Amino acid sequence: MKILVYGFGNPARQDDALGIEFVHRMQQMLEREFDTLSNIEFDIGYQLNIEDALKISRYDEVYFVDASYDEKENFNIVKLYPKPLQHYSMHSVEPAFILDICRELYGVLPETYMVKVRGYEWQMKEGLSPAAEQNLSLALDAFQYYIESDIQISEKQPMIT
Amino acid sequence: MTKKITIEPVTRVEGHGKVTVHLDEKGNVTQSRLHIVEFRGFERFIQGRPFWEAPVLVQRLCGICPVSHHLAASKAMDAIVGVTPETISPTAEKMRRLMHYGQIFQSHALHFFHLASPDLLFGIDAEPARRNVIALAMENKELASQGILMRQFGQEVIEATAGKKIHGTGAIPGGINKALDPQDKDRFLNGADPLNAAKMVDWAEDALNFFLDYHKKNKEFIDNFAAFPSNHLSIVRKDGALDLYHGVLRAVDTAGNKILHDIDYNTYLDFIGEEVKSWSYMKFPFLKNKGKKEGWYRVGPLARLNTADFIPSPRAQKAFEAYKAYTNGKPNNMSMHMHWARLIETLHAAEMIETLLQDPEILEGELIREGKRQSEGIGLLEAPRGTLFHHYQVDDNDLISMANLIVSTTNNNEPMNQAVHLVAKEYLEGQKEITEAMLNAVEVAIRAYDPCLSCATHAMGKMPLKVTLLDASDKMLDEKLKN
Repeated sequence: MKILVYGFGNPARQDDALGIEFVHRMQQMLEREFDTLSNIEFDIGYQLNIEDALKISRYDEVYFVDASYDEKENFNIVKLYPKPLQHYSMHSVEPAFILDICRELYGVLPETYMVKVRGYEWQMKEGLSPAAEQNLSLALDAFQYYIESDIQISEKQPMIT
Repeated sequence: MTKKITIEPVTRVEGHGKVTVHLDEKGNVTQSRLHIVEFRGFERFIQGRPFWEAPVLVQRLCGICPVSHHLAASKAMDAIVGVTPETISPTAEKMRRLMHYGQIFQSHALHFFHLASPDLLFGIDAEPARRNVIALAMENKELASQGILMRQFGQEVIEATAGKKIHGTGAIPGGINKALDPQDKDRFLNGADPLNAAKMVDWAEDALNFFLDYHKKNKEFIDNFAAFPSNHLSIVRKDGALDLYHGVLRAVDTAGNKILHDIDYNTYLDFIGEEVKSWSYMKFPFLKNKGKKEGWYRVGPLARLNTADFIPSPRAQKAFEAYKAYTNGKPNNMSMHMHWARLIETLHAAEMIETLLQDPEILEGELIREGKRQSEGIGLLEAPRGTLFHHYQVDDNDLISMANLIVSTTNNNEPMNQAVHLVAKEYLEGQKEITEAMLNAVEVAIRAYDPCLSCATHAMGKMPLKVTLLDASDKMLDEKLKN
């Protein structure tokens, strides 16, 4: 099974960097623990874009990771289903929309999850806020457990903290 | 009762803005405006940072055209380290050009296939659910797939030249940090179909032919929708050729008379002013010699093909000749012809990529040069959406003390407002009911300019669509929110 963990966000917008930071740190954590990570790949982006539909079509399981403005929990992982959009802007392309293009254009539907990490500060400034940093740490611990069990256990449920 | 219709944000453009249309008691359009509601503050963000960080930092302005900012800032920083466009090494210039044409190619492809073509294929009066890229994909999978692969090819050229997919580091003050890897050259020139340069040239020509065929069948709409006279500005090569990376500043009026005579862009402040208006964060640039009222101008593909005398690549030149013949060699003021011009530039970018890849100097040579340190640097280039100005001052501690950026969309601010007003008058005036098709017509006019209104944070839950109805005293009559 091929897995993609794909974080996106703008590192110059404080907590909007949560998706990218998540991927960097998760990759480091897993590489420290395992000798080879042959079935997991990592990628980052400034924002989702149309060609990401082609990218995810090559994986069996995909985890999108993004900062969340309105998430009530510290973090959350939810299963995604394809969703067409009526109003389309390259700056508000949702993962479910990318999934929809993937299904329509390439005829495949990878198992896809959205990892949402709650953020608080969005000014033109670098560095995560302390609260977002704490949420990121919690999300990384939980996701590491989650992804490890994913390799061993075929059935898993969306997790809500 | 007089009322004001607000569309916020405009959909299918980069970033977000809102449009307000004021109607009087008889339903006549009295005023329409494109408001830019987000203040970016980037020019302040970069102050106090070491100058060599600028080419990397400024990319964060935009997720769609970061390379344009990367290269414009690099050109400005070349001046700081004493390197001029005449003294930069051939390898550095050619690598930067390859990066730039990769950016133009992918950005133009994205705009045409995935932002504009749904409007063209299905019509602006089609129901909203049909006017999106999924509908395009379902009804014309080959076209949608080609668009994605053209964008992917451009992105791969950028990654090979800039070093990274996002926030590339390829261009540095005074040059570049690496030449092209021979394996990348071989991959781009001889890679399996369809991801090679020759196929991209063919596909770019196919896309142009698709538009020309559409134009034949829809002349009235394409020729008349939001058409209005204006001045046009861009950089051109010293001999008048289309050059998207470097040149002199030229402007022509609606009759084709030169009103800015190929000036050195380092003197732009002597010729271009910026007007501030209370209802928008975005400034309104104008040519000082024509004044605020008459001096506004368009930038971008339409303007570039109006200012340039010829295109220095054979297939794009042939297309350019047909394009110019359509207006008897006079400037083209038809807003929807922006798509035609954009597709000719897409073809030119593909040809330039193929040519640059065959140049041996792109594989080896001097990467970086230095000269006499300066305290001020100005870098201009033609970004996908139009002329992009970067201007910096640096203090004795190598820290940036002043930054002034005029982005392409700012240059097109007044033209977009003109287009919105024209369309609003044509589609909304005297109507008893404001339909989705009428509102979309306003958006189509804006989208022709491919505006990048801002790079707002896109964290989930932060991009609602708000439609507000207000009366003449700005009292809200109705409001709808869509996510």
